[in-house]
Amino acid sequence: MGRRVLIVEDEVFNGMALSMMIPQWGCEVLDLVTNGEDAIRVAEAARPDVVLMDINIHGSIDGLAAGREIIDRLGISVIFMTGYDDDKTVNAAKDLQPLGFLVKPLDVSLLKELLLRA
Amino acid sequence: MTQRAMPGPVGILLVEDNPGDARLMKESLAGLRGARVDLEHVTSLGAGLDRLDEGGVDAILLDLDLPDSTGIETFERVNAAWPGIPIIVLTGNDDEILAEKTVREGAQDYLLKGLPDGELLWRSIRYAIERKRIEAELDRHRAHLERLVEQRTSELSRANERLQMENDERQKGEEALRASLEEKEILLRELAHRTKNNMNAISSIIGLQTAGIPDEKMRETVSDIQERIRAMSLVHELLYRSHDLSTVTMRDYIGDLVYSLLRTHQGRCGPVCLNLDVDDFSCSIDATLTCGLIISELVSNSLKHAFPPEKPGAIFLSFRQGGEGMELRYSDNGPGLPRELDLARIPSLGLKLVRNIAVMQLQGKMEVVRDPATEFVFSFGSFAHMEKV
Repeated sequence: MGRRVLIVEDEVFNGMALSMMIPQWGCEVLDLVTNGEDAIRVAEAARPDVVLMDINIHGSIDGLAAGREIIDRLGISVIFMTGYDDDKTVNAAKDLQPLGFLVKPLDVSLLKELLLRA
Repeated sequence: MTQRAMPGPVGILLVEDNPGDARLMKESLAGLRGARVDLEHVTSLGAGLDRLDEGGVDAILLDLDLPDSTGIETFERVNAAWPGIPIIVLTGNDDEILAEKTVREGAQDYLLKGLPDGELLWRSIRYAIERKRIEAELDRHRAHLERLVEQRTSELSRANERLQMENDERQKGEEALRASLEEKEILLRELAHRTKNNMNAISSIIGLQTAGIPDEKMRETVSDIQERIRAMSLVHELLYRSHDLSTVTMRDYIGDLVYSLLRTHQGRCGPVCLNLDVDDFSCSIDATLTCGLIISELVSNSLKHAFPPEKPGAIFLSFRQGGEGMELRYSDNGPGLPRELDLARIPSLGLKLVRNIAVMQLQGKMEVVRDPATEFVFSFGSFAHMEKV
Protein backbone atom coordinates (compact mmCIF):
# COMPACT_ATOMS: atom_id res chain seq x y z
CA MET A 1 0.00 0.00 0.00
CA GLY A 2 1.29 3.49 -0.86
CA ARG A 3 2.71 5.76 1.76
CA ARG A 4 0.50 8.62 2.90
CA VAL A 5 2.40 11.90 2.72
CA LEU A 6 1.81 15.39 4.15
CA ILE A 7 3.71 18.15 2.37
CA VAL A 8 4.73 21.28 4.28
CA GLU A 9 6.09 23.83 1.83
CA ASP A 10 5.36 27.54 1.60
CA GLU A 11 6.63 28.06 -1.92
CA VAL A 12 3.52 27.14 -3.85
CA PHE A 13 5.39 26.14 -7.00
CA ASN A 14 7.55 23.69 -5.08
CA GLY A 15 4.56 22.35 -3.17
CA MET A 16 2.53 21.90 -6.34
CA ALA A 17 5.42 20.19 -8.11
CA LEU A 18 5.81 17.74 -5.22
CA SER A 19 2.03 17.15 -5.13
CA MET A 20 2.08 16.23 -8.80
CA MET A 21 5.23 14.11 -8.65
CA ILE A 22 4.71 12.05 -5.50
CA PRO A 23 1.45 10.28 -6.58
CA GLN A 24 3.33 8.95 -9.61
CA TRP A 25 5.39 6.84 -7.20
CA GLY A 26 2.31 5.19 -5.76
CA CYS A 27 2.16 7.43 -2.69
CA GLU A 28 -0.83 9.46 -1.61
CA VAL A 29 -0.51 13.19 -0.87
CA LEU A 30 -2.92 13.86 2.01
CA ASP A 31 -2.52 17.60 1.99
CA LEU A 32 -0.26 20.52 1.17
CA VAL A 33 0.13 23.11 3.95
CA THR A 34 2.31 26.19 4.14
CA ASN A 35 3.05 26.75 7.83
CA GLY A 36 4.15 24.94 10.97
CA GLU A 37 0.88 25.33 12.87
CA ASP A 38 -1.14 23.72 10.06
CA ALA A 39 1.51 21.02 9.70
CA ILE A 40 1.10 19.90 13.32
CA ARG A 41 -2.71 20.17 13.20
CA VAL A 42 -3.09 18.18 9.96
CA ALA A 43 -0.46 15.61 10.97
CA GLU A 44 -2.29 14.97 14.22
CA ALA A 45 -5.69 14.68 12.54
CA ALA A 46 -4.73 12.75 9.38
CA ARG A 47 -1.82 10.67 10.77
CA PRO A 48 0.32 10.50 7.60
CA ASP A 49 3.14 7.95 7.31
CA VAL A 50 5.63 10.68 6.41
CA VAL A 51 5.74 14.46 6.69
CA LEU A 52 7.85 16.16 4.03
CA MET A 53 8.89 19.31 5.84
CA ASP A 54 10.51 22.47 4.53
CA ILE A 55 12.59 24.04 7.31
CA ASN A 56 12.35 27.66 6.26
CA ILE A 57 8.61 28.30 6.26
CA HIS A 58 6.25 31.14 7.06
CA GLY A 59 4.55 31.53 10.40
CA SER A 60 5.58 31.62 14.03
CA ILE A 61 6.76 27.98 14.13
CA ASP A 62 9.59 27.12 11.76
CA GLY A 63 10.04 23.73 10.13
CA LEU A 64 12.49 22.51 12.76
CA ALA A 65 10.15 23.28 15.66
CA ALA A 66 7.16 21.77 13.87
CA GLY A 67 9.25 18.71 12.89
CA ARG A 68 10.37 18.25 16.49
CA GLU A 69 6.79 18.16 17.73
CA ILE A 70 5.67 15.82 14.94
CA ILE A 71 8.52 13.39 15.62
CA ASP A 72 8.56 13.57 19.43
CA ARG A 73 4.90 13.94 20.29
CA LEU A 74 3.11 12.38 17.33
CA GLY A 75 5.74 9.75 16.54
CA ILE A 76 5.47 10.42 12.82
CA SER A 77 8.48 10.22 10.49
CA VAL A 78 9.74 13.46 8.99
CA ILE A 79 11.89 14.18 5.95
CA PHE A 80 13.39 17.67 6.18
CA MET A 81 14.01 19.80 3.10
CA THR A 82 16.00 23.03 3.17
CA GLY A 83 17.71 25.49 0.93
CA TYR A 84 20.27 26.16 3.66
CA ASP A 85 22.81 23.47 4.46
CA ASP A 86 24.77 25.45 7.07
CA ASP A 87 26.12 23.39 9.99
CA LYS A 88 23.71 24.90 12.48
CA THR A 89 20.62 23.94 10.49
CA VAL A 90 21.98 20.52 9.52
CA ASN A 91 22.98 19.62 13.09
CA ALA A 92 19.71 20.87 14.58
CA ALA A 93 17.76 18.80 12.04
CA LYS A 94 19.88 15.67 12.46
CA ASP A 95 19.56 15.83 16.25
CA LEU A 96 15.87 15.09 15.73
CA GLN A 97 16.77 11.85 13.92
CA PRO A 98 14.56 12.46 10.91
CA LEU A 99 13.93 9.90 8.21
CA GLY A 100 15.95 12.06 5.84
CA PHE A 101 17.52 15.45 5.28
CA LEU A 102 17.42 16.84 1.73
CA VAL A 103 19.04 19.99 0.44
CA LYS A 104 17.25 21.93 -2.32
CA PRO A 105 17.23 21.70 -5.24
CA LEU A 106 15.86 18.28 -4.38
CA ASP A 107 17.47 15.07 -5.58
CA VAL A 108 14.22 13.52 -6.79
CA SER A 109 15.47 9.92 -6.92
CA LEU A 110 16.71 10.20 -3.34
CA LEU A 111 13.33 11.56 -2.24
CA LYS A 112 11.58 8.71 -4.03
CA GLU A 113 13.83 6.13 -2.39
CA LEU A 114 13.25 7.62 1.07
CA LEU A 115 9.47 7.73 0.59
CA LEU A 116 9.22 4.17 -0.67
CA ARG A 117 11.35 2.91 2.18
CA ALA A 118 9.38 4.74 4.82
CA MET B 1 45.73 90.51 65.36
CA THR B 2 42.52 91.94 64.00
CA GLN B 3 39.52 90.55 65.81
CA ARG B 4 35.99 91.87 66.03
CA ALA B 5 36.09 92.19 69.82
CA MET B 6 39.35 93.65 71.00
CA PRO B 7 39.80 92.41 74.53
CA GLY B 8 43.20 93.96 75.26
CA PRO B 9 44.38 97.51 74.57
CA VAL B 10 44.67 98.52 70.91
CA GLY B 11 48.30 98.20 69.80
CA ILE B 12 49.28 101.33 67.86
CA LEU B 13 52.68 101.89 66.28
CA LEU B 14 53.51 105.56 65.65
CA VAL B 15 56.26 106.03 63.05
CA GLU B 16 57.24 109.69 63.23
CA ASP B 17 60.66 111.34 63.22
CA ASN B 18 59.47 114.81 64.29
CA PRO B 19 59.51 114.84 68.11
CA GLY B 20 56.97 117.69 68.33
CA ASP B 21 54.44 115.93 66.12
CA ALA B 22 55.02 112.70 68.00
CA ARG B 23 54.44 114.33 71.31
CA LEU B 24 51.21 115.96 70.13
CA MET B 25 49.91 112.59 68.95
CA LYS B 26 50.73 110.88 72.21
CA GLU B 27 49.10 113.62 74.24
CA SER B 28 45.92 113.71 72.26
CA LEU B 29 45.51 109.95 72.60
CA ALA B 30 46.43 109.86 76.25
CA GLY B 31 43.70 112.27 77.25
CA LEU B 32 40.84 110.16 75.83
CA ARG B 33 38.28 108.49 78.07
CA GLY B 34 37.52 104.87 77.43
CA ALA B 35 40.31 104.44 74.91
CA ARG B 36 42.63 101.61 75.90
CA VAL B 37 45.65 102.29 73.81
CA ASP B 38 49.07 100.72 73.88
CA LEU B 39 51.10 103.25 71.86
CA GLU B 40 54.67 102.65 70.79
CA HIS B 41 56.76 105.21 69.00
CA VAL B 42 59.67 104.73 66.55
CA THR B 43 61.40 107.37 64.43
CA SER B 44 62.44 105.53 61.26
CA LEU B 45 60.96 103.13 58.77
CA GLY B 46 63.62 100.52 59.58
CA ALA B 47 62.75 100.63 63.26
CA GLY B 48 59.06 100.49 62.40
CA LEU B 49 59.46 97.39 60.25
CA ASP B 50 61.51 95.73 62.99
CA ARG B 51 58.84 96.48 65.56
CA LEU B 52 56.14 95.13 63.23
CA ASP B 53 58.05 91.85 63.01
CA GLU B 54 57.52 91.38 66.74
CA GLY B 55 53.72 91.47 66.36
CA GLY B 56 50.98 92.92 68.55
CA VAL B 57 50.33 95.96 66.30
CA ASP B 58 46.70 96.61 65.40
CA ALA B 59 47.16 99.88 63.49
CA ILE B 60 50.01 102.03 62.17
CA LEU B 61 50.20 105.82 62.28
CA LEU B 62 52.72 106.54 59.56
CA ASP B 63 54.58 109.75 58.69
CA LEU B 64 55.68 109.55 55.07
CA ASP B 65 58.86 111.63 55.39
CA LEU B 66 61.32 109.70 57.54
CA PRO B 67 65.11 109.71 57.66
CA ASP B 68 65.34 106.43 55.77
CA SER B 69 62.35 106.77 53.41
CA THR B 70 60.25 109.55 51.92
CA GLY B 71 57.01 110.09 50.10
CA ILE B 72 54.68 107.39 48.85
CA GLU B 73 57.47 104.83 48.96
CA THR B 74 57.27 104.82 52.76
CA PHE B 75 53.65 103.80 52.64
CA GLU B 76 54.25 101.27 49.86
CA ARG B 77 57.00 99.46 51.76
CA VAL B 78 55.00 99.13 54.97
CA ASN B 79 51.83 98.11 53.13
CA ALA B 80 53.73 95.53 51.03
CA ALA B 81 55.29 94.00 54.15
CA TRP B 82 52.10 94.06 56.28
CA PRO B 83 49.07 94.27 54.02
CA GLY B 84 46.80 93.05 56.84
CA ILE B 85 47.47 95.95 59.23
CA PRO B 86 45.55 99.20 58.65
CA ILE B 87 47.74 102.24 57.98
CA ILE B 88 46.72 105.82 58.73
CA VAL B 89 49.00 108.26 56.97
CA LEU B 90 50.09 111.38 58.89
CA THR B 91 50.59 114.32 56.62
CA GLY B 92 51.34 118.00 56.69
CA ASN B 93 49.08 120.67 55.16
CA ASP B 94 51.24 120.86 52.07
CA ASP B 95 51.05 117.27 50.82
CA GLU B 96 47.37 116.36 51.06
CA ILE B 97 47.43 115.27 47.42
CA LEU B 98 50.08 112.70 48.21
CA ALA B 99 48.04 111.53 51.22
CA GLU B 100 44.96 111.04 49.06
CA LYS B 101 47.06 108.98 46.70
CA THR B 102 48.05 106.63 49.54
CA VAL B 103 44.33 106.18 50.37
CA ARG B 104 43.68 105.16 46.77
CA GLU B 105 46.52 102.66 47.08
CA GLY B 106 45.18 101.08 50.24
CA ALA B 107 45.83 103.36 53.24
CA GLN B 108 42.79 103.41 55.50
CA ASP B 109 42.82 107.12 56.13
CA TYR B 110 45.03 110.19 56.42
CA LEU B 111 45.23 112.80 59.14
CA LEU B 112 46.66 116.30 59.13
CA LYS B 113 49.45 116.48 61.62
CA GLY B 114 48.80 120.01 62.79
CA LEU B 115 45.32 119.23 64.19
CA PRO B 116 45.61 116.30 66.51
CA ASP B 117 42.00 116.08 67.70
CA GLY B 118 42.05 113.11 70.02
CA GLU B 119 38.45 112.00 69.42
CA LEU B 120 38.91 112.25 65.66
CA LEU B 121 42.16 110.33 65.82
CA TRP B 122 40.73 107.58 67.97
CA ARG B 123 37.66 107.21 65.77
CA SER B 124 39.84 107.09 62.68
CA ILE B 125 41.96 104.34 64.24
CA ARG B 126 38.93 102.25 65.25
CA TYR B 127 37.28 102.63 61.87
CA ALA B 128 40.53 101.80 60.12
CA ILE B 129 40.86 98.58 62.11
CA GLU B 130 37.24 97.66 61.47
CA ARG B 131 37.42 98.42 57.73
CA LYS B 132 40.58 96.37 57.42
CA ARG B 133 38.88 93.51 59.23
CA ILE B 134 35.89 93.68 56.87
CA GLU B 135 38.23 93.91 53.91
CA ALA B 136 40.06 90.81 55.07
CA GLU B 137 36.80 88.96 55.53
CA LEU B 138 35.65 90.02 52.08
CA ASP B 139 38.98 88.82 50.71
CA ARG B 140 38.45 85.46 52.36
CA HIS B 141 34.94 85.21 50.91
CA ARG B 142 36.18 86.22 47.49
CA ALA B 143 38.99 83.69 47.67
CA HIS B 144 36.52 81.03 48.74
CA LEU B 145 34.18 81.93 45.88
CA GLU B 146 37.07 81.94 43.45
CA ARG B 147 38.10 78.49 44.65
CA LEU B 148 34.52 77.28 44.19
CA VAL B 149 34.30 78.79 40.71
CA GLU B 150 37.67 77.29 39.83
CA GLN B 151 36.56 73.90 41.10
CA ARG B 152 33.28 74.08 39.15
CA THR B 153 35.07 75.31 36.07
CA SER B 154 37.50 72.44 36.18
CA GLU B 155 34.66 69.96 36.77
CA LEU B 156 32.79 71.46 33.85
CA SER B 157 35.82 71.37 31.64
CA ARG B 158 36.43 67.73 32.56
CA ALA B 159 32.78 66.93 31.79
CA ASN B 160 33.14 68.85 28.58
CA GLU B 161 36.20 66.85 27.60
CA ARG B 162 34.36 63.61 28.35
CA LEU B 163 31.40 64.74 26.24
CA GLN B 164 33.72 65.77 23.45
CA MET B 165 35.38 62.35 23.53
CA GLU B 166 32.03 60.58 23.55
CA ASN B 167 30.90 62.76 20.72
CA ASP B 168 34.03 62.00 18.71
CA GLU B 169 33.55 58.30 19.26
CA ARG B 170 29.90 58.48 18.30
CA GLN B 171 30.79 60.37 15.17
CA LYS B 172 33.37 57.76 14.25
CA GLY B 173 30.80 55.04 14.87
CA GLU B 174 28.25 56.82 12.74
CA GLU B 175 30.71 57.24 9.92
CA ALA B 176 31.62 53.56 10.05
CA LEU B 177 27.95 52.66 10.08
CA ARG B 178 27.22 54.92 7.14
CA ALA B 179 30.09 53.42 5.17
CA SER B 180 28.93 49.92 6.00
CA LEU B 181 25.36 50.78 5.00
CA GLU B 182 26.52 52.23 1.72
CA GLU B 183 28.52 49.09 1.06
CA LYS B 184 25.49 46.90 1.80
CA GLU B 185 23.30 49.02 -0.41
CA ILE B 186 25.73 48.63 -3.29
CA LEU B 187 25.84 44.88 -2.71
CA LEU B 188 22.04 44.60 -2.55
CA ARG B 189 21.61 46.66 -5.69
CA GLU B 190 24.18 44.51 -7.43
CA LEU B 191 22.41 41.39 -6.22
CA ALA B 192 19.02 42.58 -7.47
CA HIS B 193 20.61 43.50 -10.78
CA ARG B 194 22.26 40.10 -11.19
CA THR B 195 19.14 38.22 -10.14
CA LYS B 196 17.14 40.09 -12.77
CA ASN B 197 19.81 39.45 -15.42
CA ASN B 198 20.09 35.77 -14.55
CA MET B 199 16.33 35.30 -14.74
CA ASN B 200 16.20 37.03 -18.08
CA ALA B 201 19.07 34.83 -19.26
CA ILE B 202 17.18 31.71 -18.14
CA SER B 203 14.16 32.90 -20.06
CA SER B 204 16.28 33.49 -23.17
CA ILE B 205 17.94 30.09 -22.91
CA ILE B 206 14.54 28.41 -22.70
CA GLY B 207 13.43 30.41 -25.74
CA LEU B 208 16.53 29.48 -27.72
CA GLN B 209 16.32 25.84 -26.75
CA THR B 210 12.77 25.54 -28.03
CA ALA B 211 12.95 27.95 -30.96
CA GLY B 212 13.16 25.25 -33.61
CA ILE B 213 10.43 23.05 -32.22
CA PRO B 214 7.39 23.23 -34.51
CA ASP B 215 4.93 21.96 -31.87
CA GLU B 216 2.43 24.80 -31.21
CA LYS B 217 1.48 23.43 -27.79
CA MET B 218 5.13 23.29 -26.74
CA ARG B 219 5.77 26.88 -27.88
CA GLU B 220 2.79 28.03 -25.88
CA THR B 221 4.05 26.23 -22.78
CA VAL B 222 7.46 27.82 -23.17
CA SER B 223 5.89 31.23 -23.57
CA ASP B 224 3.86 30.65 -20.36
CA ILE B 225 7.05 29.77 -18.55
CA GLN B 226 8.80 32.86 -19.88
CA GLU B 227 5.94 35.07 -18.75
CA ARG B 228 6.17 33.69 -15.22
CA ILE B 229 9.91 34.24 -15.17
CA ARG B 230 9.35 37.76 -16.45
CA ALA B 231 6.85 38.46 -13.65
CA MET B 232 9.54 37.48 -11.18
CA SER B 233 12.46 39.26 -12.80
CA LEU B 234 10.46 42.49 -12.99
CA VAL B 235 10.33 42.65 -9.19
CA HIS B 236 14.11 42.53 -9.05
CA GLU B 237 14.34 45.13 -11.75
CA LEU B 238 12.12 47.51 -9.77
CA LEU B 239 13.96 46.63 -6.59
CA TYR B 240 17.21 47.60 -8.23
CA ARG B 241 15.69 50.99 -8.96
CA SER B 242 13.92 51.41 -5.60
CA HIS B 243 15.16 53.72 -2.87
CA ASP B 244 15.16 51.35 0.07
CA LEU B 245 16.03 48.12 -1.75
CA SER B 246 13.47 46.17 0.23
CA THR B 247 10.07 47.25 -1.03
CA VAL B 248 8.51 47.87 -4.39
CA THR B 249 5.59 50.13 -5.17
CA MET B 250 2.70 47.90 -6.19
CA ARG B 251 1.37 50.45 -8.68
CA ASP B 252 4.69 50.63 -10.57
CA TYR B 253 5.12 46.89 -10.57
CA ILE B 254 1.63 46.04 -11.80
CA GLY B 255 1.83 48.70 -14.51
CA ASP B 256 5.18 47.41 -15.78
CA LEU B 257 4.03 43.81 -15.56
CA VAL B 258 0.77 44.27 -17.45
CA TYR B 259 2.35 46.36 -20.22
CA SER B 260 5.12 43.81 -20.57
CA LEU B 261 2.50 41.06 -21.01
CA LEU B 262 0.63 43.16 -23.58
CA ARG B 263 3.82 43.61 -25.61
CA THR B 264 4.48 39.87 -25.54
CA HIS B 265 1.00 39.11 -26.87
CA GLN B 266 0.90 41.94 -29.40
CA GLY B 267 -0.46 40.79 -32.72
CA ARG B 268 -2.11 37.72 -31.27
CA CYS B 269 -5.22 39.62 -30.26
CA GLY B 270 -6.90 42.90 -31.12
CA PRO B 271 -6.33 46.20 -29.32
CA VAL B 272 -6.77 45.93 -25.57
CA CYS B 273 -7.88 48.77 -23.35
CA LEU B 274 -6.27 48.65 -19.93
CA ASN B 275 -8.10 49.97 -16.88
CA LEU B 276 -5.68 49.88 -14.00
CA ASP B 277 -6.63 51.29 -10.64
CA VAL B 278 -3.94 50.47 -8.11
CA ASP B 279 -3.52 52.24 -4.78
CA ASP B 280 -0.12 53.65 -4.01
CA PHE B 281 1.38 51.23 -1.51
CA SER B 282 4.52 49.22 -1.03
CA CYS B 283 4.96 45.58 -0.12
CA SER B 284 7.85 43.27 0.61
CA ILE B 285 9.53 41.61 -2.35
CA ASP B 286 7.99 38.25 -1.51
CA ALA B 287 4.44 39.58 -1.31
CA THR B 288 4.81 41.72 -4.43
CA LEU B 289 6.25 38.90 -6.46
CA THR B 290 3.52 36.53 -5.36
CA CYS B 291 0.77 39.02 -6.25
CA GLY B 292 2.55 39.52 -9.57
CA LEU B 293 2.31 35.83 -10.36
CA ILE B 294 -1.46 35.91 -9.84
CA ILE B 295 -1.84 38.97 -12.05
CA SER B 296 0.47 37.53 -14.70
CA GLU B 297 -1.66 34.36 -14.89
CA LEU B 298 -4.93 36.28 -15.11
CA VAL B 299 -3.76 38.77 -17.71
CA SER B 300 -2.13 36.19 -19.94
CA ASN B 301 -5.25 34.06 -19.61
CA SER B 302 -7.34 37.00 -20.85
CA LEU B 303 -4.92 37.76 -23.68
CA LYS B 304 -4.89 34.14 -24.82
CA HIS B 305 -8.56 33.26 -24.50
CA ALA B 306 -10.82 36.26 -23.97
CA PHE B 307 -10.22 38.54 -26.90
CA PRO B 308 -10.94 37.58 -30.51
CA PRO B 309 -8.74 39.54 -33.00
CA GLU B 310 -11.66 41.50 -34.44
CA LYS B 311 -13.09 42.74 -31.16
CA PRO B 312 -11.42 45.35 -28.92
CA GLY B 313 -10.67 43.87 -25.52
CA ALA B 314 -10.76 45.49 -22.13
CA ILE B 315 -9.08 44.56 -18.88
CA PHE B 316 -10.18 45.91 -15.50
CA LEU B 317 -7.77 45.56 -12.63
CA SER B 318 -8.02 47.24 -9.27
CA PHE B 319 -5.86 46.70 -6.22
CA ARG B 320 -7.02 48.61 -3.17
CA GLN B 321 -5.54 48.88 0.23
CA GLY B 322 -7.88 49.69 3.11
CA GLY B 323 -7.40 49.24 6.83
CA GLU B 324 -5.63 45.99 7.55
CA GLY B 325 -6.50 44.33 4.28
CA MET B 326 -6.17 44.50 0.52
CA GLU B 327 -8.56 43.67 -2.27
CA LEU B 328 -7.57 42.71 -5.79
CA ARG B 329 -10.34 42.62 -8.43
CA TYR B 330 -9.82 41.44 -11.97
CA SER B 331 -12.13 41.07 -14.95
CA ASP B 332 -12.19 41.39 -18.73
CA ASN B 333 -14.91 41.93 -21.35
CA GLY B 334 -14.51 38.44 -22.76
CA PRO B 335 -17.00 35.58 -22.51
CA GLY B 336 -15.82 34.62 -19.00
CA LEU B 337 -15.41 31.23 -17.39
CA PRO B 338 -17.94 28.50 -18.15
CA ARG B 339 -20.75 28.54 -15.60
CA GLU B 340 -20.38 24.89 -14.75
CA LEU B 341 -16.68 25.22 -13.84
CA ASP B 342 -15.95 23.93 -10.33
CA LEU B 343 -13.23 26.07 -8.78
CA ALA B 344 -12.08 23.22 -6.57
CA ARG B 345 -11.29 21.15 -9.66
CA ILE B 346 -9.73 23.62 -12.04
CA PRO B 347 -8.09 21.83 -14.94
CA SER B 348 -5.84 24.69 -16.12
CA LEU B 349 -2.47 24.99 -14.44
CA GLY B 350 -2.68 28.78 -14.63
CA LEU B 351 -5.90 29.05 -12.61
CA LYS B 352 -4.77 26.32 -10.25
CA LEU B 353 -1.62 28.35 -9.61
CA VAL B 354 -3.70 31.48 -9.06
CA ARG B 355 -5.86 29.74 -6.49
CA ASN B 356 -2.97 28.06 -4.65
CA ILE B 357 -0.90 31.23 -4.56
CA ALA B 358 -3.81 33.34 -3.32
CA VAL B 359 -5.12 30.85 -0.77
CA MET B 360 -2.06 28.97 0.37
CA GLN B 361 0.84 31.31 -0.06
CA LEU B 362 -0.84 34.66 0.54
CA GLN B 363 -3.42 33.12 2.91
CA GLY B 364 -6.18 35.12 1.27
CA LYS B 365 -9.68 34.42 -0.06
CA MET B 366 -10.49 33.90 -3.71
CA GLU B 367 -13.98 34.38 -5.10
CA VAL B 368 -15.24 34.23 -8.66
CA VAL B 369 -18.25 36.45 -9.36
CA ARG B 370 -20.03 35.44 -12.55
CA ASP B 371 -22.68 38.10 -12.91
CA PRO B 372 -22.71 39.60 -15.46
CA ALA B 373 -19.05 39.18 -16.45
CA THR B 374 -16.58 36.89 -14.76
CA GLU B 375 -14.74 38.76 -12.03
CA PHE B 376 -12.02 37.43 -9.77
CA VAL B 377 -12.07 38.95 -6.30
CA PHE B 378 -9.17 38.30 -3.94
CA SER B 379 -9.05 39.58 -0.40
CA PHE B 380 -5.89 39.48 1.63
CA GLY B 381 -5.12 40.35 5.23
CA SER B 382 -1.76 41.87 5.90
CA PHE B 383 1.20 40.19 4.27
CA ALA B 384 2.99 40.03 7.62
CA HIS B 385 3.02 36.23 7.54
CA MET B 386 5.15 36.46 4.41
CA GLU B 387 8.08 37.55 6.56
CA LYS B 388 10.15 34.50 7.40
CA VAL B 389 10.76 33.79 11.08
